[in-house]
Amino acid sequence: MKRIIIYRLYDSTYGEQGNAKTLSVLLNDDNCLSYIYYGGWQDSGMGFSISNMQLQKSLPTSISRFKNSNELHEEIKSVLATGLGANKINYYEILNELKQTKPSSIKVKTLYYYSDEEETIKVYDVEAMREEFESQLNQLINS
Amino acid sequence: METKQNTIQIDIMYYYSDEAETLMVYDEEAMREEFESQLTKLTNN
Repeated sequence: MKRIIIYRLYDSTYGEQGNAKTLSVLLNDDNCLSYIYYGGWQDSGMGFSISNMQLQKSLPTSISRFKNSNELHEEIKSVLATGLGANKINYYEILNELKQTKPSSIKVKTLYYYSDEEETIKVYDVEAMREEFESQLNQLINS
Repeated sequence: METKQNTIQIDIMYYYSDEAETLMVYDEEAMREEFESQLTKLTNN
C-alpha cells in the first residue's frame, strides 16, 4: 500500500482554515484505491466518515482509467466539488506516481475436501490448489 | 498443539533474458517448481 495524494480540506463557512480535515488517498496492493478522512491537517487525527461531505458523485475506487496521479487528482477534485462542508481544497500534494503495484508473492490457500460421506476425514485438495496457483501465475504473467 | 499451514506462499521470481542483464522476465518454471516442492512438503506432513 502507498499514499498517492493528500488533501488538506476546510469548510469555507468558517474561513480559510475552518473545520480542517485531511483526505488521504491510498493505493492498495490489489490496485484499488482507499481513502482515510480525519480531522486536522496533521499526520493523524480523529476519523470521520466521507459521507459527511454528502458527495453527489463517488470517489474513484479503481485506477484503471487514470494515466497518472494528476488525472486521478482532477477526478477527485471534481468529486469533492459536489459535496458540502469541509470539501474545499486548501492544499494538496501528489506524493507518489500512480503505478500499478506488482505483487511480491503468489499466495494459495490450503484447500481440502472430505473423503467420506460423513464429512469427518479431510484431505488436501492438491488439484484445486494447483489450479489456483496456475490461475494466479497466469494473471501475473498477463498483467 | 500442532498448527496447520493455511497458505502456500511463493515469492515472485525473475531471470534476465539478455546478457546485459537489463530485461527481467518472470521465471515461471522456477515458481512452478517451488510451488510443487511446498505442496509436496504440505501433503507429506
